[in-house]
Amino acid sequence: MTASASRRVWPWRDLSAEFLALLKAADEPAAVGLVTGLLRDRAPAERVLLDVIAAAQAAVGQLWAEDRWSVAREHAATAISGRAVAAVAERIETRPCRGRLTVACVDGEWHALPARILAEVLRLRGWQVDFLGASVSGRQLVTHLQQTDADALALSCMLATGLPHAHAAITAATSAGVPVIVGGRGFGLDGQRAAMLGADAWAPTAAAAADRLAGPDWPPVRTGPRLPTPGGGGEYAQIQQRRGSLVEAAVRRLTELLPPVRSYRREQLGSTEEDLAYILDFLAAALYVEDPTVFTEFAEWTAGILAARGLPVAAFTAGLDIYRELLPDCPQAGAVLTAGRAAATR
Amino acid sequence: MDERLCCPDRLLAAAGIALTGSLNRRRILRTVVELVVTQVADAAVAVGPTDGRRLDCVRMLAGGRAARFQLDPHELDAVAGLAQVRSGPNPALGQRVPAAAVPDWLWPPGFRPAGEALLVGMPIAAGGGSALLLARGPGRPPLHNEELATLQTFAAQAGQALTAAALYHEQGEAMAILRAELLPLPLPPTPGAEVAGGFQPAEHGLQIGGDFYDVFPPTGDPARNVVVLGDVSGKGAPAAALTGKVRQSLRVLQLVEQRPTELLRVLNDALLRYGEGDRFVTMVVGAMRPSGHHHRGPLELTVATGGHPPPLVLRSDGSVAEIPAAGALIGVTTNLRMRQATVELAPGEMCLLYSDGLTEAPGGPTGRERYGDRRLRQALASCPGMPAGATVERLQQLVSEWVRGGDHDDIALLVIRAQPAGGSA
Repeated sequence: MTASASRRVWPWRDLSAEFLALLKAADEPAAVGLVTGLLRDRAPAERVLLDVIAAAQAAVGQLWAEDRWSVAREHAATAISGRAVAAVAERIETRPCRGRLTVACVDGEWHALPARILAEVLRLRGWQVDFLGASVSGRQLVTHLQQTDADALALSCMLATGLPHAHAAITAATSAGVPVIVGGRGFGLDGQRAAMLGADAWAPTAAAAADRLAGPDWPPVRTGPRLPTPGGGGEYAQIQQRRGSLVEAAVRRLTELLPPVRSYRREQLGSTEEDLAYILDFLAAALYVEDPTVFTEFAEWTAGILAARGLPVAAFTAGLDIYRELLPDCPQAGAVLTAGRAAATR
Repeated sequence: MDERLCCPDRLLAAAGIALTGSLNRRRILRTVVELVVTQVADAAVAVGPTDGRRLDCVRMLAGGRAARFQLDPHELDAVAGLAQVRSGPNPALGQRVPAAAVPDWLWPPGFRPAGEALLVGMPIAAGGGSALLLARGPGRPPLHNEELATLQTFAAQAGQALTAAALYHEQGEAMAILRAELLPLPLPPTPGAEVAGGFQPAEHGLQIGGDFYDVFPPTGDPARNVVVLGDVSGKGAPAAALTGKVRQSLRVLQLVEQRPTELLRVLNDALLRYGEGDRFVTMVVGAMRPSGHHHRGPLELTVATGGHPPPLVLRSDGSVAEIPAAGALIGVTTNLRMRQATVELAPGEMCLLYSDGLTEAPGGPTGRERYGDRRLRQALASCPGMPAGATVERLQQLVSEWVRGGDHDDIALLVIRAQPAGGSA
């Protein structure tokens, strides 16, 4: 990088806004062109990834949450951002000088772009990276880890419902002797959930993860036998086992309580079933990591989504009340549901 | 620090879990030195099996990190007995080696042993071997015979772990070569169309199965891309073997014949004649080309099916319809009746080829419902304006959420999208 390029001040916020405008117009050639143009002008590639592409994607997520963009539009924008990341990868060659890392999304996690950006940032910083992609099953992960000698696994989980799967992945990697660093919104705003599930480290951002992996206290040295951390206590197991019948019972009860549900078309009934199942999955995840904030954060977020769409929050809280009724023998679940109701109606 | 190895069982207990968890040779060597240095010694060097022509080695100093390095086999002669201990007839026996007999460059940088070093072999039953050299630093009590005995047991365990790793590696390499032949190839150029495919095998670890898809480079006059998506009966490795044969046959056949019905007919004959008789295939074959002046017209796609769900088309107005093609299973009867169909895709419109693993996928909130045709059409209808690759990913995501980690058959998807107006994709 020339001296002038390194001293140059880049207007990241404006560039990110420009990129977002191109995503809005679904103009893929121009969006990718913006990124490659910046690289040609010797903009630092890591900042392009994080302060232009990732920043714009965060705005895209917000636009969907506020009901200003449809799911299809959000997917199309994510696809374009993915191509832009690929363009960075194609243009910047690096020589691996640090070691080998595996980057993967937990089983069931399809928001792969943040992990993809992390993989690219790590590669730019000199790691040899195997990016396994979205929704990596435990089987696939173990097979891959046994065949390579990765220095670490970086695991991404964007939705807290993936935390039980994350635990399985962390345990598998740990037993194979591979240290694990985790990140993503599913792990919350501090390292508590990560520590509870036995991860060696947690990072709030891609840059922080890259710093940690290159830092002085990594990798952690194993001093003795490391047994898997337990997870999934009694109430979690109960709810998982009864998931199907609980959802069916909840739909029936909802139909009794809210007359309009009786005349729902098949699609609406299907959506209602899905929403009720979603609530149960977040409840289960909260019980698994023994952290009610998993559920209260979900409740707050859902209330926001409903408000943006002009729908009553009662559509959601009715579900919470029904589950409390259906789970009289689960006091922990009841407490979590109560906390969720309070969070949604604040 | 001086309570180290007051119970020899502690090293063995730690080793038991750590060594049996890994099937990776380098990882095992690293684990060996880490355990030894944290439990027993101040420095350890593991001289490993050969990786090609050089020896894979790891060394570590107490308070430091395990570091990999490599040696040439002749460098082993620097330490008396090292070469023999690695590969001798009774390699598990340990020896005491005077400090002066070990060159400085072998230890981690900056380490000087006080007194004797211990040398133990880690025998690998599959051939080759490994050895472990360890020592304590100045001011530390010397290693005594009980510790040597424990270390010999530990080294034997390590040798067993290295043996398993060697066998796994060998089989893994063979599998990887075979599997590489069976994975979908990167897609060739497809004038006038954007094509993307996706494959979700029933058996996640293996990554191969009975479903497949292929897109061939344009051939014939006028030039067409032939595409196929198929489903061999069965799952996993046995099905994959037939999948490979079918794909290879098609690869060759389509060089001389691009008409979908004819391709299916010849393939049917071949399977009846040369197949094992107990497997059949269902398939969709399509031939596509951009039409009109300068390829600005609609994408013309001719499709024939053999016992396979007909492809779906997503139109610009958001409607989803089935392509009216039909035909019998391939490889079962000589009397193969087929009805082919041709559709035209306007810019941006999409065609989805899929295997029935998708519609049969069990799941949903109750866990027992099939995904079904209705849901698939709804899912496709939610993708107008999306690039082909994003559509594939979205469908894969929806199915994955539907089955929620449960079992499903192989699922193969192929999306063909007519190039949208005004841009290259």
